[in-house]
Amino acid sequence: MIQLQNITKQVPDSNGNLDVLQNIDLSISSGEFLSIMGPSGSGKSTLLNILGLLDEPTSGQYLFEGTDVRKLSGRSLAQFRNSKIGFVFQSFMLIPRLSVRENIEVPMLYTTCGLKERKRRAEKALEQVGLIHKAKEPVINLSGGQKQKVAIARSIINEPDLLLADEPSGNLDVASKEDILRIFESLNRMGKTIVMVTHDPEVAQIAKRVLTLKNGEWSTTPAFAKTEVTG
Amino acid sequence: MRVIRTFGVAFRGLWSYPVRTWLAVLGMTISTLLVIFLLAVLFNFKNSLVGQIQNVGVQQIVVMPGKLLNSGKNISEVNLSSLLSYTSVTSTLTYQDAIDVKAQIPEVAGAAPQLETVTRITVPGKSAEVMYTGTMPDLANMYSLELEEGRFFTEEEAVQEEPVIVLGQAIKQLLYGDSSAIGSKVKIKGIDFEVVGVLKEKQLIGFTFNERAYTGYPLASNTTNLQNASMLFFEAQSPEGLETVRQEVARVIKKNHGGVQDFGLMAPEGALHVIDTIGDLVTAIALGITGVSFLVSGLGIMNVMLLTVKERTREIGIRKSVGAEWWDILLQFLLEAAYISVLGCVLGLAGSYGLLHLLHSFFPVLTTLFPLQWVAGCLLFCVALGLLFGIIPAVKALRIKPIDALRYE
Repeated sequence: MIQLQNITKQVPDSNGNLDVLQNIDLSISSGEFLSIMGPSGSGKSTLLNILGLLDEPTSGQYLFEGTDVRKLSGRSLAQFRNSKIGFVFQSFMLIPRLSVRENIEVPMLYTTCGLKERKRRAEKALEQVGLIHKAKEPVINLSGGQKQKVAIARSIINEPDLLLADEPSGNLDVASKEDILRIFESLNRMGKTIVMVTHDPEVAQIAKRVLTLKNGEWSTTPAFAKTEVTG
Repeated sequence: MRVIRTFGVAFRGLWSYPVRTWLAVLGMTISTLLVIFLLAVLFNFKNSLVGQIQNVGVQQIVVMPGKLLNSGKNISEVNLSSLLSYTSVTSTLTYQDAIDVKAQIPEVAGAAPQLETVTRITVPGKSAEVMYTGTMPDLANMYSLELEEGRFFTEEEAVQEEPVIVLGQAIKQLLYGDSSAIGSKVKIKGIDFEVVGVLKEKQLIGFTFNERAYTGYPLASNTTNLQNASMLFFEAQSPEGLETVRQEVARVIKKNHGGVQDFGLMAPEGALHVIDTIGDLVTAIALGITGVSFLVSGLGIMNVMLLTVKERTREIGIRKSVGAEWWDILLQFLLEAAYISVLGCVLGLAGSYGLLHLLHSFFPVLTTLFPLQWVAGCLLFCVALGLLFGIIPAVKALRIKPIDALRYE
């Protein structure tokens, strides 16, 4: 599904350029559940943003289902993000003035789907995360766990194949964290490819494969038993 | 479909910061109110003047004492600036001038010389100051004077100096209140007049019929010892060939005056031209001055939108991360700016309409025309204004990279 070859990301800093990612190779198969671990500043969020087409690598090749995404126009990238990728962020990234349903429907505003289809998919997504009873509630009234469920529902409403989650349980209590992880497991069982960034080994363990980044490179030191050495 | 949806998204976005939005709307409302209300008042004032002149009839010819200094031109032929050299003189216009014009020019349908002086009118126990006016019955037709009761005096009564009188509405109210005045006697200059008619209330801008008492010209002339008319009114058979008729009128009077042009002819179309010129000039100046307020409101909208874009950077990032294209963002913020502008415009138009009617209740002579073209034109202008002043914030929004927007604190 995804092939990264020699991906490098440099950002300017006071000493010139800082290598955030260095020669990253990664292959992700369809239906896989992958966790990327690493300490703060290791480049895992940058890698996730590159995978999600939110950021561009400085060099290297990125193939998404055989398409070289670096050659795509801004418009095509937006369409890819809309139809093929779903995002879940640590800080939820919901629009506070909108209701639960309205937040979930945001990605569908940028499709050609009609109102009926929008409603149908929103209800389905809400059922999947168990928030159908909160559909009309303003998101600002929800707890952290509920907000993250809304974010997950939003990420799956356009039925993308790939879900990218950046520290999805980072801001949650233990009970909510377990809830969220169960939803990810369930989505993976339904065939979604999931890439999750976390620094929490307990969270990472639910993935079938765990990779560790350190200083922008794959680490050879396993974080725990499941960790593989290379991408 | 997606474009239509953006209209809804933009409308919702408008209320992210409601106080700020309402303040921007208020600015636009005040600008629209200022411009449209002023425009409406000027337009209706001009319309009232024109309407009253047209109501009198465009085929009317008014002869006034006076002349243009050092010019052989007629008053109706000159432009506005030349009117400043028009000077009034002691009137040499006579009753005979009016009679001769009507007799010698077949195209003249009516003639009414007018002589006037302020005098006292008395009834037992009451008296009032009145504009005692001598004229001929043709005046009633020329000015479409309607009678509340009774009739206007006849040509025969005027010529035979019958002491009959027609009272204006205000005089009748002063002397008789709500009772009928017909058949009663009033005393002017020691003569008992029989009231034969009472006029309905009528006034033109700058002129009222309500304070006048009309009798035949010959009797008024004899009782006041005034020989000359203050003005002569003529009505042509039709508006066609009016200029020729006017020249004929001037020829006949000039001949009566021994070849001296010591009078001027004013035609309604001349007055209309003057009103048009002044009206357009004042409107242009007023619009020029008040139009600046639109610029200020536009800058206000831009300021609000720039703040909105800054404070909703994360939202922009969210929308871009889930598939919004550059034009979705551009359209959303352009529409938000246009909504503010149009909402202000609608409120301003409604306010102008209300204020115009309020003004009308104090000054009934002012019409309340509010053409639909203004509404449409103003709305279109405000859409354009909103879009224009929304461009910079909207472009700023679309240029934000999704990753930077999502990281924005």
